[in-house]
Amino acid sequence: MAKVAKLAGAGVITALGRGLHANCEALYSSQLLHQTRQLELFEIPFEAPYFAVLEDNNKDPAQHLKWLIDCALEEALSGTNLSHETRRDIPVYIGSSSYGIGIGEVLYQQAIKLGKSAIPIPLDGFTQVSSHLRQQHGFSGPDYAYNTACSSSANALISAATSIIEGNSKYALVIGLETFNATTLAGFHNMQLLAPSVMRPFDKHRDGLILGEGCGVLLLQAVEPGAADITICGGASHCDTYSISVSNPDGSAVAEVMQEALTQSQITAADIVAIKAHGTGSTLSEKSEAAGMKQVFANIPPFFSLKASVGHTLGGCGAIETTLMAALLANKKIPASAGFKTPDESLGISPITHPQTIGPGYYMLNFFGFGGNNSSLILQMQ
Amino acid sequence: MLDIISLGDYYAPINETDGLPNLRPNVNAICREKFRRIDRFIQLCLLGSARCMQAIESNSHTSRTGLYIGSRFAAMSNTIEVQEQMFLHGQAPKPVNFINTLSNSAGYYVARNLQLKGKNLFVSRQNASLEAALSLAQLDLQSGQIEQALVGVVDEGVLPLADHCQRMGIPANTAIGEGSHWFLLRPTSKTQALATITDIDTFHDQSDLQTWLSDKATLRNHFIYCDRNVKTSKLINDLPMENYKPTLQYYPSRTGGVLLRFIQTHKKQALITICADEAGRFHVTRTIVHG
Repeated sequence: MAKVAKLAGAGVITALGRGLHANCEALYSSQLLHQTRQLELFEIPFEAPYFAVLEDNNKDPAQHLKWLIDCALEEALSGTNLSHETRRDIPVYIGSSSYGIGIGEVLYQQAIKLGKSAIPIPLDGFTQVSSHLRQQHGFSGPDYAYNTACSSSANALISAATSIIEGNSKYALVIGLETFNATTLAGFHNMQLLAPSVMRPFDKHRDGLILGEGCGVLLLQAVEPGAADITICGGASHCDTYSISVSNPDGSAVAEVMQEALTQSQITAADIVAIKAHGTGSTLSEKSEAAGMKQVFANIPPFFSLKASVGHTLGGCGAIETTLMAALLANKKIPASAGFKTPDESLGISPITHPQTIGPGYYMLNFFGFGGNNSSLILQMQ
Repeated sequence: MLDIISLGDYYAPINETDGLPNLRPNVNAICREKFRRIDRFIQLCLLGSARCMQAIESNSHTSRTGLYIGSRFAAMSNTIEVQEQMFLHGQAPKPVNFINTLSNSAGYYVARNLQLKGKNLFVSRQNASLEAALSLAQLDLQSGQIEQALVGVVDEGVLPLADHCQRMGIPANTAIGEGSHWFLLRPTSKTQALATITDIDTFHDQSDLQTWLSDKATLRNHFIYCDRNVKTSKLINDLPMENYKPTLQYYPSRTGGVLLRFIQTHKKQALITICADEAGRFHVTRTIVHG
């Protein structure tokens, strides 16, 4: 009999705190606590709000990256008992936008200050996560470092679930990670995509996003159908070539990927109980997302965004927000869409404004990124 | 198993004196649009992918084509420019430079040029990025998410070469190249294919590799290529297989160029490629070339 991809373990760390419980409690209270990051290295210094994980006092970005992974991994594996041999064989699917870029930035800056021959990008950034997982935690199976902008770890999760469902793996480990780096903050600042104070996904007065850092880890396990509380049913990933920085505002590309995710999961739009939207608080991208939802759903299910609470964790958001969603499902309660106050008539839809009790069924999670990379995932709660 | 339906690539040796070859004329000549805001990595991806798809009929461009780009470093020269702008000159990255630091920007332009709308992934696994991209393509073909996969493995030459050698962890005097090697793949069927990839695997250590190789050692007409000979030289030399050594200078995606050249020149023979990584693992492929 075909297997399903059970969520056998999950762990998370975000600006809201360490662990699923702390994050869920903060989400239910619609907490909007972020800090400010200053970048003084430029001719015109600037500061921007940022969702930093402050619990770690380590200033070394390499150690901080490892600490974030260790925190989320410890929680994800806490209820499991994987032998050394099992760990050794598990394929590892990693999604991130930052990988080791923050580490490279600091090494480069240190070399410049010392007057040494300074080499930009002095290391292999893509290997920083997989090397740590191998050396520190014994995960030495085939590793895949995805870099597809904001859909990176969502795509990693789709591949991991597919590997389980196809019978190729008994387990699969998925890591979504984002760490602070100056390149990304400065890049988004110069593209004028950052909100000055608060993220307001789907709100009439939305004016940009706030970046954040964190790590989400999911352990998937192949089990018989019906033998799991929460499963990853499947998903879809498409490329929209309308523009490199935004999906087609008519919603067609977003609708196609959502429809494909439903088809891959062998369900219909009417089966979806609620949607975790991508919801970045950006004017154009929410136009695409709202238009896409209206095309797919005759009656739009309750939907919400998590990003006003945890920040936009870019390539890490697929795993981080799926981990959070799984914890919310386990609590049988979804939160209000933080940051939303005033409906935008031009979107024609509004997210939920109060926490809602939920039950068994299918849930959609959407992730859209630069480069036209759109992904949609389906979770099932028994 | 994966059938290779079409091939296409670009390769050039790099030297400090001549600088990097100008790719713009070739890219403009083969692409549907004249893309302006693209960096060298994107140019390489466009050139190789267009050559691969040019070699087959236009009706083979289906909407269910998955795109898989593997690379160790992706857009390295552009990212270096961004880092220098920021940390040497105190300037925030220009939007076009910043967005091209994202590895999947190359996938966007390839998809736009070839009018692809399906899955579009970028994956990295050091010098085994070909093996990683092939594995993901195989998985999606197996599950029916796509009908065919366009897989490319691409790494650009970066000046100064001494810095890039240090980045890659190789001696500064190593002869360096750059390449963009592409394969159009479909599930194995009775339709005519150039070659069939029978194995894509990762082994934890030399013992596991040896066990796998011993099963293949009795096979006839097999050649072997090892990306890093140091760790496996004795093992390889003991096998009754001939070493395949095309004249490609060093770059992380070289295995792609090796495989492509073997398919072009060795009808009815087979190639095993082995890539040893720093963790002591071995990433392998086995490909049978048809007549």
